[in-house]
Amino acid sequence: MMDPLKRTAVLALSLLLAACAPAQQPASSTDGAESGLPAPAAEESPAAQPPSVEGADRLYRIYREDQIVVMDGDGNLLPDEEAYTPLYDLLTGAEAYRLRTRHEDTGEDDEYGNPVVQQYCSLYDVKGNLLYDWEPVAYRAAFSGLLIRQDPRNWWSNPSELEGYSTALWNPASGETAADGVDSLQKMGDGSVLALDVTGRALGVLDGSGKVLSGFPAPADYYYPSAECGMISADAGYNPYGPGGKPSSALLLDRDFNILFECEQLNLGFYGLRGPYALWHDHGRTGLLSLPGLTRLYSIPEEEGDIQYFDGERLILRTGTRNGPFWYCFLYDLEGNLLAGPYEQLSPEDEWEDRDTPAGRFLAKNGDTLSLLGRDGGLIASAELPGLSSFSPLGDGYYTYSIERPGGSSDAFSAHLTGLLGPDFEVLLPAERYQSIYRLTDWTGQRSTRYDLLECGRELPNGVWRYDLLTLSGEPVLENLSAVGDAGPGRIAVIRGSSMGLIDFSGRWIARRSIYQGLQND
Amino acid sequence: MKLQRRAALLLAVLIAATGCKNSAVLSQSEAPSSSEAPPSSASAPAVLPLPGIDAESFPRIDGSTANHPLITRIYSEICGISREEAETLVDLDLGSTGSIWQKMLYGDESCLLIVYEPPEEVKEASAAELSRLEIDPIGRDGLVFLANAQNPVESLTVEELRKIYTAQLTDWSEVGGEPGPIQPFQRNSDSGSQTLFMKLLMQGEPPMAPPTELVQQTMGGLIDGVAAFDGSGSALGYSVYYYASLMYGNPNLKLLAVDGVTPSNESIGNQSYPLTNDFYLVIRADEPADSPVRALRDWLLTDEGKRLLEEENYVWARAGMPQQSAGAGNPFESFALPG
Repeated sequence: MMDPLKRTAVLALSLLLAACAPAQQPASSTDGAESGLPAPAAEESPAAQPPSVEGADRLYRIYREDQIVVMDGDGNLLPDEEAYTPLYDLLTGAEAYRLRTRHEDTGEDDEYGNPVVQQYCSLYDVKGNLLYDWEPVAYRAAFSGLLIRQDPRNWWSNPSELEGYSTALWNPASGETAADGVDSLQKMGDGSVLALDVTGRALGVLDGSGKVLSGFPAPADYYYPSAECGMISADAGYNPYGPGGKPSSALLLDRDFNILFECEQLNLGFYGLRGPYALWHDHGRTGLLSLPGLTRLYSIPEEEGDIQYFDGERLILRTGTRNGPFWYCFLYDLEGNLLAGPYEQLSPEDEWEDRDTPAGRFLAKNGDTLSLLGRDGGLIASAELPGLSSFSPLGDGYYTYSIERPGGSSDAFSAHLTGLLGPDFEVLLPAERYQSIYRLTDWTGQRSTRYDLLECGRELPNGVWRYDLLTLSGEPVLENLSAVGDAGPGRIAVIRGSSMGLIDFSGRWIARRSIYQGLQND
Repeated sequence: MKLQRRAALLLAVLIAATGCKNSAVLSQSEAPSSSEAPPSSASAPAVLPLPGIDAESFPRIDGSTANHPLITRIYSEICGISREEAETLVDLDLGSTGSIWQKMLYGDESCLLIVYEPPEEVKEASAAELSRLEIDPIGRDGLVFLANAQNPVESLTVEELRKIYTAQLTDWSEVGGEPGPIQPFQRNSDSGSQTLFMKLLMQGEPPMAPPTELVQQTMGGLIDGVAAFDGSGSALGYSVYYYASLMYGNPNLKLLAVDGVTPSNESIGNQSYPLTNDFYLVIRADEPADSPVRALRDWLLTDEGKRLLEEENYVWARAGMPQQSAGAGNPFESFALPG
């Protein structure tokens, strides 16, 4: 175990050595796409580029204020009732069905005078073949060819409002109910599935084929449980719709609802955990529990800090209280050796990615200094960024940092400016032009996909927001977009000026039409 | 573990570390910037000298869809950038005319509107708020009726149109066309087109309730809908002249004459075309005297504004008016739907 003061001395030396490192050159630039686009034609213009096959077999949506424009992969506009929503298998992530939805005004008003609409859905296979025509039902994704089929519902506040409500795990092939009352599902992590009713209460556990393994009903009321490693975390004796009161305890249950572990609070889905661990609080202490072996790995008095990250080998602990004198983060190993800290902020690099993969590096902030640390806590690189307030990894060694705009209100989003750092922590874009910089990401499906483009937002002096697409090294691809919609392989749905459609990743139009053709206007 | 003690011990080192300047960091001036717009193929106009207004202080302008080209041109001229680039920087608000008025009436953002007349519901519900605006006519447009290009009917009278929209005339043969049912499209109630339709044509008489498929939520949708409706060429619809003739035309459609007068800039300007209405510049009455919004509004009411408007093929509506008669009042006070 390394002495903490020796550790600190090494850290300080690392910082000093880093200060003497030679300056890094920014990544070389690439040619930006031409922005000199012709004025939009009134009707759909011919494709400026031959559309690639990649990304053609899916839909693209653009959200603009309260409107949604839906296009197919060739840029053809689809009316609401022709736009489909893919339903993905919960266990495999593969597209299982396609759903179309429409709403019809019933001609009646509700108690507040708002028109009452009826939702209708039709169901298709992944090739678009109709399975079930329009019916006043809703479908939700399930697994192994099954779906949840239920009555459409609006907002409700009390289970008494759900009298007569029908929802079930259902087999579209046979048209038969597999498990009644199922409203939502959670992966258990061992191939089985936890089923919940419409109130969020555990019903039981099903195997990967839909066969009931336990419950239906569960032996007790467990509301809003979470599942991991074949186990269920649930509050005991807590009914959110009953008389007030806190849960009497938190339970860890096996899939037969046998109690494995009991404490005051238990968190399986804690965002800072990477791997099969649970975070517990009990009798003034907090600690980690290894799953499924239930080994206690680490525990400290709660007043010594909050565990913010753990991956089996490294732990980030935050001490003190917000704005207090000891509000700092520290990096430890499993033996309790201090590896790095104190830092005002310390977080794993790229926690955005696979939650089960331990972070390879860590990002740390003190004052205006942003540092990149190795798993041993050693300094890899640092950057001095005046006004630094926060940072975020973009993946692949790129990072954003935000500074507070001088004289701005810290409450306003636009009071912050965001810059871009490259793999060697060099400033690729200073925090001058953009309020936001995000990696262009495909959010469809169960796993999102990041592309090698940046979506950068800026507020113009007249209060209008515009977005620029840039390469990862900060070179412009296409600027002044008023909306960036779905991104798929080789295609991005955008609105620019009076044009909207699909562009490729070099910023050239694949399909382009006038906004007056598809968006509400007057 | 005595974590807090460790934290205290390390604070001194922290201070030393953060105070250390890192020579590996590029200065901001050395770093590449993407703030330079890519070169544009279109030539930019010379900047119009308008004291106090440039790209940094250019005020927000909202407007009806048919005013988008004018808004773009203003930005282009004042900021000295190409029209193409200006189009990507101005806010082409895609809301309805009603919603644009609502934002002005109940929002607090400093803004100039170039906008068609508000829907009657807005005028009724917001009379007090309207009185706190300065509303000046600047341009004129016409409510035009569209029919399939193959339809032999070239002209309808106001009376015939009114009877068609009250289901008293239902067949094209009754107005000189080939036998077949007339399919009259309408627009959503808070649209500018519907406002003009109700004011100029129906004049308080309620139109027939159209089937859902004959109500279009967008101007472009109406034009596409009339052009394509069931392939029979039986549809009839309406829009405003500027939009239908210059912004989103359809070769399968034609504009009908009304009372024998073909809609054109000339007939709309001299109001020989019977269905015309002004559009307006709108600012808040409490805009400071030196605000960019007021300065821009005042400039648009000058001969420079007239030139710019006419170069964009709009019809100037201020002939005979004093050049500066801004904020003359609420031009909608006298109008109320009968019944």
